[in-house]
Amino acid sequence: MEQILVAAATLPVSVLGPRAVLVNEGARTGKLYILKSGDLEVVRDGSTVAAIGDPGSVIGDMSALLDLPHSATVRTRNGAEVHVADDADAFLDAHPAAARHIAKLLAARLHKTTALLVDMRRQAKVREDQVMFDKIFALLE
Amino acid sequence: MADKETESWLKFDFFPAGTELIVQGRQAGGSFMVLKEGEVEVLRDGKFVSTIKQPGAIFGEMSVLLERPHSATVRAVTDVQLYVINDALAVLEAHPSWLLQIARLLAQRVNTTTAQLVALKSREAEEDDVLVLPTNVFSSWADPQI
Repeated sequence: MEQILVAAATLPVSVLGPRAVLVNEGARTGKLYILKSGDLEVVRDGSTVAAIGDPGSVIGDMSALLDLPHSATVRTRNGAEVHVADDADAFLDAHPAAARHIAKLLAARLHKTTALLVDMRRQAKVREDQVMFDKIFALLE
Repeated sequence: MADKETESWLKFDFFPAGTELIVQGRQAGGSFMVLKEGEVEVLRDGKFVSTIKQPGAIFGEMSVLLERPHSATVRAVTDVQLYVINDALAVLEAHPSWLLQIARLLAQRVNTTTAQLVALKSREAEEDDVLVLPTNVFSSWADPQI
């Protein structure tokens, strides 16, 4: 966290009031945001799915790296100060520590999603087998 | 390649089909691999996760970045040629643009895995019997990908 805040200190800060929208779901900004202070919430399809309150939290990384539209809306709760990198690639190129921090976050996320995927596939397989057994037993009866 | 500066951390290697290039649970040792030619498969807890056959594909980078044991096994499906990057963290620090490439690659993999999870999840919802995961568990990983 600290390392990314050191790198982020070189960026301009945007000060947002309560209930202000930082990024809009579906918008493509190419920007990277790093929370300096305050609290944010992630809203998807109208409902809040996560809260972000740790200084140094990164917002917009997936969208900036993959040139995709933002997958959720992020807005402030009571207000926040946010570092804004208008050109995410240039910022990460200039700050290896920040790039490493984000790569690390993504690796941790991938670790989690892959574990879940394998687990869900395994459970799906168990259920498929169960259905098959049920069919076989139904035939035998 | 023969450059004095690079030869200490870059090594070319060849492995026959069937070799376990990376073993789940084993310490990473600070190196990752770049595929030059051939096909490998990724297995987690013995279950197939994905196939990698694109030249230039990187694997082993997760445990380098997270400084923890390998989270999956990578096995050569065909004979493979690859580059091994030793002392990877220092090498990456010295080449910020590679770090950015790795971040992009990881983001792509997160995106793909998430899409597969969502597809599995909605298939299960359609089947309308027991949900494999409680909704709150599912939303806990689905959060900060913005």
